[in-house]
Amino acid sequence: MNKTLRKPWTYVLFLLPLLVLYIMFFIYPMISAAITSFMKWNGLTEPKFNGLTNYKHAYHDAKFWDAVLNNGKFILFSVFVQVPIILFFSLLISNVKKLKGLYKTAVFVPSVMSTAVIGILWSFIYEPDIGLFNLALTKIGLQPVMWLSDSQWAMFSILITNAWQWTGFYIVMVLAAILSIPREIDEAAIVDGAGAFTRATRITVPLIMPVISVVIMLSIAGAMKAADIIIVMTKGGPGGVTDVMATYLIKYGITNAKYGYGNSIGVLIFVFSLMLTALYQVLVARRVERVEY
Amino acid sequence: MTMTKNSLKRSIPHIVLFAFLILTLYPFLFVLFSSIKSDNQAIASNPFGFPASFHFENYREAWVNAKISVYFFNSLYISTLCSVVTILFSSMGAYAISRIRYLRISNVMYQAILIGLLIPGNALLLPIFIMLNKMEFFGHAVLGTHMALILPYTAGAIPFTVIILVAFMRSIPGEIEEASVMDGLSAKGIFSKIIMPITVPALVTVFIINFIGNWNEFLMANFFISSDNLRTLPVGMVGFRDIYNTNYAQMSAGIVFSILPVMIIYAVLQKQIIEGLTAGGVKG
Amino acid sequence: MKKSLLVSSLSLVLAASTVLSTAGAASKTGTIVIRHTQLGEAKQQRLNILKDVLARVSKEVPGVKYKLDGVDSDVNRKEKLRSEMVVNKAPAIFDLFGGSDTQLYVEANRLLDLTPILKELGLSNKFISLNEFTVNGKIYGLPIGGYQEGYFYNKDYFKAHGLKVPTTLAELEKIAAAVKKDGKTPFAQASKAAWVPLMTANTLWSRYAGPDITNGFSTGKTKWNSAPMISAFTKYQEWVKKGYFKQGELGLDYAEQRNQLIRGEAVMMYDGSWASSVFADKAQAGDMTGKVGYFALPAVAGGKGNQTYVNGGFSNGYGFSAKVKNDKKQLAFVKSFIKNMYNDEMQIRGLEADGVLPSMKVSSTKLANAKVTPLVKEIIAVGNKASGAFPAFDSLVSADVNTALSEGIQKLIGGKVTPKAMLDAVQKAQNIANSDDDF
Repeated sequence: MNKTLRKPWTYVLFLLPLLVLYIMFFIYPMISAAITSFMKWNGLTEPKFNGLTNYKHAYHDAKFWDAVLNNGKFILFSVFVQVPIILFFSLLISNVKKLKGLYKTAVFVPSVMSTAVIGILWSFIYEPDIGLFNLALTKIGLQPVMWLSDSQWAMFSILITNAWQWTGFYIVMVLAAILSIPREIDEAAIVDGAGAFTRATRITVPLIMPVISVVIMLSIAGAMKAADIIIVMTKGGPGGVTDVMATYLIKYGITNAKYGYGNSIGVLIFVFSLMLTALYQVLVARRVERVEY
Repeated sequence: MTMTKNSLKRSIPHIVLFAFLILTLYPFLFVLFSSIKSDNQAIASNPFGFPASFHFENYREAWVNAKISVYFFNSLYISTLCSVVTILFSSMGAYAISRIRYLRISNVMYQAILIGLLIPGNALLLPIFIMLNKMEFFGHAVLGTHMALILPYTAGAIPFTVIILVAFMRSIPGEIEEASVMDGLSAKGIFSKIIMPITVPALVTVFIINFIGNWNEFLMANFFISSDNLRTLPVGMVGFRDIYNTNYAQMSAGIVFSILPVMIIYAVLQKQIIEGLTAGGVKG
Repeated sequence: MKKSLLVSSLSLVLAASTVLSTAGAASKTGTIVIRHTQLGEAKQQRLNILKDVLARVSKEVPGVKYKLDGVDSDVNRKEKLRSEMVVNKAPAIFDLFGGSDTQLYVEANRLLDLTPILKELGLSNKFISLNEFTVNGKIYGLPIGGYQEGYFYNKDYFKAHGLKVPTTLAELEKIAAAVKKDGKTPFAQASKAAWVPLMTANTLWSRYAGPDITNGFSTGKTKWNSAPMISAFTKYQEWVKKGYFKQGELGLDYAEQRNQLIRGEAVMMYDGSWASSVFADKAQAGDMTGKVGYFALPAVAGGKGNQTYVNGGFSNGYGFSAKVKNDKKQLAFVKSFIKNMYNDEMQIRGLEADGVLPSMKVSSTKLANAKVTPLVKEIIAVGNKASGAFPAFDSLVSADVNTALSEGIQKLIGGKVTPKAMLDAVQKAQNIANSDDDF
């Protein structure tokens, strides 16, 4: 149409830095991971092609599936526990007249701290003898709980910590969406005699579905990435019950010196992410007209 | 009667919200109190209250034992630099994809980058590690320097940033540019003078999200950096914890040191951060 | 003007990163990095020794800059050094474990062959045992000291309750039962890192199944899930079930173990001789200073093989990067480091200040004159009484078997698995590691 916007060199120049970095840090490593995932390689000596052995081993290793399951727990917890809590408090904050700013500012605080520091802080809170929780439990006459060392509780304790860190972050996002809904819609409903609950479920929630969808998407992405909080708090223990795919990758790829196998786990993480996204598109995104992220 | 009933009704949300705030903020207070108690025994005997005597030597010891100031500035400049460079490159790319008329190529590019969003960064930890090892930057080995973090952090945030910015730039009406072309602006001129200023809200949003991501990053920082002076805050703090793990009073002081600067920055910029987070990306 | 936007932005990034990379790369040009694990209060003396040695080295080899880099021992062994070895970027001098670690790195030509250097310095026959660092007849690492493992115990408590050092496992269990009845924890333990509970388990299984059994796992001659092994772990599980360890100890860091003994809440502790220095230091041990004794894990009635062997050896020390030999200055530095670190003086100093058992054949008169605490004397006496020593399991089995065993013991402590099932899983990992179609 007009030349200014069609100069090929301009196009290339604008895209070049992006492309270089993207190829270097996404395309190339992905290909390299895919290739070495078919090799027996300790990272030190010459790699040796071993076909599907790595994948077969992952398939037969119950510990790998335990790790996958733990990623699943992360996702389920954020979708079915965290999201309702986020919605509840966002609606609550949006409806109060006073102190809105204070609530918003305060709930966001944990999100600005680094996960590792939060992991350290919460390990202290969970400490069996002098941690906050057990001191509180014993004070009211209950038995102390071995939060991070009891395999029944360990994963749950990590999920709580993760939720504590991110709930405020998402509340701020959802709250912004709620507050951007034109006031007239709500007022019209009030005139029609709709109660607060009805307005929330019938008007507000449907209108903010896109942002809820974003929150779910980000939670899933976060769940697939989760590793640091586990390394800091339990190192996958006790006995591997809190391992997720990424910590499993490190344990077998680096500690056990099995680079080829580690890379096949990396490929599997990617495949699972793809499957999840497809599933998400079918189950959630379709019902939401417009998804930004 | 109705007055009190009304005010009661009005205060219920506040009571619930205050309970939530306490839940959110009490851990900080617990650490703050613990940090000025003499030892584990003092924490155990009086966990919730204000300490009986103040022990500020915990702070001195934590400061000497962990190079928190070094870790903090490493994290700060790496996170900032990477977020800025990511945004610069991504907005250039997003501009090309969304505004320059090579539709078919742009579409392929966009799809390719979309796939990147689905690759969790830690899945590629091992190959990136091996690649960085072979890499040199102006004749210097990359691995073992901050470049080993700066490059993957900058690249890692690209898919997310590009997708947000493309969406935003696509929503800018085309007439604006056509008018600018008439005024004699080049593509670069349109980008820097027209598109970028309009995109600022989205830029702020992605900056904040990328910054938090880089600030948090632990795995690469843990494996790609060896020397103590180059460590970022997360890795440095975990190292500190590994060594002084049984002295909770001192560890609490270390935690306070590590979160204090963030709290101050947040206190000053909270309005910009919170509004910025939601201004550009999330439009209900 | 406008096209300069792109150029200037690019060059800004490049300039910024060049500055950075030069700043970081300064360490490459000649600075020798020494990776040590002497961190925290308990290892302060060992760090001082290292610093003094380096001060002497830098006088002998002037013009070489060096830098200390401290990392937690377990993190260094399992993650840091592992990953550095892969990309061939290990520091010039580093903390190294003998056995399977050393073998793995030698296979990849990452370690400096020390045989000629030892010859040159006249140290070839000076070490008590270099077995764990020897691969194909060549020496690749030097143990900094020896260690053995046994029970540390609260002497005052034993005296006050009329308890005597046990000579059989049954006696030990009787003591444990009495302690438990008294409301205390019999055995201090902190099992967040699995090697800690595995110290007890390792000796226990060597009592039940014989001190040689661990050697046979990687050749297939012996099996993890054989009957005496199951008996050993069943005994261990019995102790867990009876509450002989502190509840929740699975989540505690290693350092917490000795604190349980120091605070008086636990009466015995199975640990390595390296822990002895803590009980000589008032600042760390408080009232418990000088009140701790030591005995070996006693004999098991009906156990296989010699019942007086102790878990001990010379498995931790320093290794050196193979790259050092390409750089004359660095090689001179390393030679001087070996000369100044491995001699009678430093060995005696380590023993006196820190209770580290010598790894070298120190002259007997010097040894007799060394000022050591009664606790260290007890440890040496236990060692002299033993008819032999077996190395720790982790120097004999590969990393993946170690991982399987580590997860297994934690699950056993957590009550999640039976001894049989746990050992079956370990044997399965061992089978895979032994077979050719390893992954």
